[in-house]
Amino acid sequence: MSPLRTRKVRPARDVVFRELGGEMVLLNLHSGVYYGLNESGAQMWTLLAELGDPARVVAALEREYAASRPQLERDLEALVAVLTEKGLLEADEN
Amino acid sequence: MAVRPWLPPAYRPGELDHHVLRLCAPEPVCPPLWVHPEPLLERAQALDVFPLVFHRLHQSLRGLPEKVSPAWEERFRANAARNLLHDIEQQRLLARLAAAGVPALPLKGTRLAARLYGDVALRSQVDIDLFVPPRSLPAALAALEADGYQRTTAVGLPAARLAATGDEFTSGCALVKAVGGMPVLVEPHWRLLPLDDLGHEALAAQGFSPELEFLYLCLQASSDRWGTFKTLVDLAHWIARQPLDWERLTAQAEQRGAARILLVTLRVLLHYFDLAVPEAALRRLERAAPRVLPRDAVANPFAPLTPLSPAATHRSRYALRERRRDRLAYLAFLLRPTAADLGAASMPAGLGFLSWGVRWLRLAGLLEGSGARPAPAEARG
Repeated sequence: MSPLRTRKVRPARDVVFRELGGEMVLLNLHSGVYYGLNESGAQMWTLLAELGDPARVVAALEREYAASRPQLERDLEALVAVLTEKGLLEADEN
Repeated sequence: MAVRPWLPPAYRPGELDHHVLRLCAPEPVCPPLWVHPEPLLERAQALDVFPLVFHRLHQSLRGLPEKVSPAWEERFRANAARNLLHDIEQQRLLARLAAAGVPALPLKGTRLAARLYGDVALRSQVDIDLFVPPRSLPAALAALEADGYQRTTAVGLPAARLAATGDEFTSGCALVKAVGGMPVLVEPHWRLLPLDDLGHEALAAQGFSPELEFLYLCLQASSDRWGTFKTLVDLAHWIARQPLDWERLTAQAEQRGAARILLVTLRVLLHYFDLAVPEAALRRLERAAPRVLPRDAVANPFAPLTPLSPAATHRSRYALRERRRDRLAYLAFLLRPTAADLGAASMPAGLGFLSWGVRWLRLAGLLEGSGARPAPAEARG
């Protein structure tokens, strides 16, 4: 089982996000770190913020995109890793 | 006999500026393929319209070629993030001021960007401008300072004395705070001279009417002698996108003695942009046309704005006032102490009236080229 499916995530505290200039801009108000996501990244972020559970996010993406499930899992995992490293996502312990 | 319309000095944009101008127009036109985007973006950056130009090039059928430096995209994103921060912080500050019983209104800023361009990322913004009535300035400054903001100008001046000052177009007081590692600059404005009643009316109505806000932007344009390209682009987009009641606008301008400023603004805009301004409105405003307006009262928006001498600044501002009573009020206004005068000599509270003497002494120095109120280029809000 992918590690993605085993833990939930949520936007870190102090992170605000909005679609601006054609991409999703994420900004950590505490650290000043910001990040831009393209259309597909923005959709992943929106689903992560809404659902929290990466497994459910992959299921939702599968309905939208023609990509295979393993590909979607890899893409989501890579995005979660980057955003977590930048302090924009954090593990949801609840 | 037909009256010859008053026309502003005609500045012709250079070739690159011409492409930037067309890209920034309400109905944009992309430059031909042989125009390389790098110098175009650099020029847009210099004219303070980079986010709009970058976005429009990016969105165009032509798109941005691979060879464009990724630094431009990063710069665009940094501006978007900063504006997002400004937007969030502005909302938070308005709530904080409301909780402290301070009526306040945002001026320009992200709200304007969203209205004119549909996206707060498409306009550059350096600070958060807020209007507060003079009587509420002490409470506003106290609330901002309690929130961690620190004054960068008018440091140590009692807020009540500051509230009694006024300067054209400048805030006279700026505060800064680091939010998430980014400095956020806040400028409270307590006078919107020479249309001081605009802010009070807008507060009473819980917001500017489109006509009053347009007049305020015209005033802003006049403060930089119509030489700030970004402000002209804002105004052009306003005319194209925000419905204006022209009858009401011209009547409001006439009532407030701002018909001349409105006329100059519209004529300058029509020189650069293809806009639907009713001929009847222009004809009506022609009655307020300046008989003599110094040529340097209207600057070239494609050239760096060079400050006028204090005497030339006051001559221009005086010439823009169309009513005798406004000219007299301007002369009286010149005698009033500014925040800078108060800061020039610290006096005990009971002797505050002496700051008027300081003002007059500095004004006397003005005749020799010192002690002036800031010239427009230095006075941007």
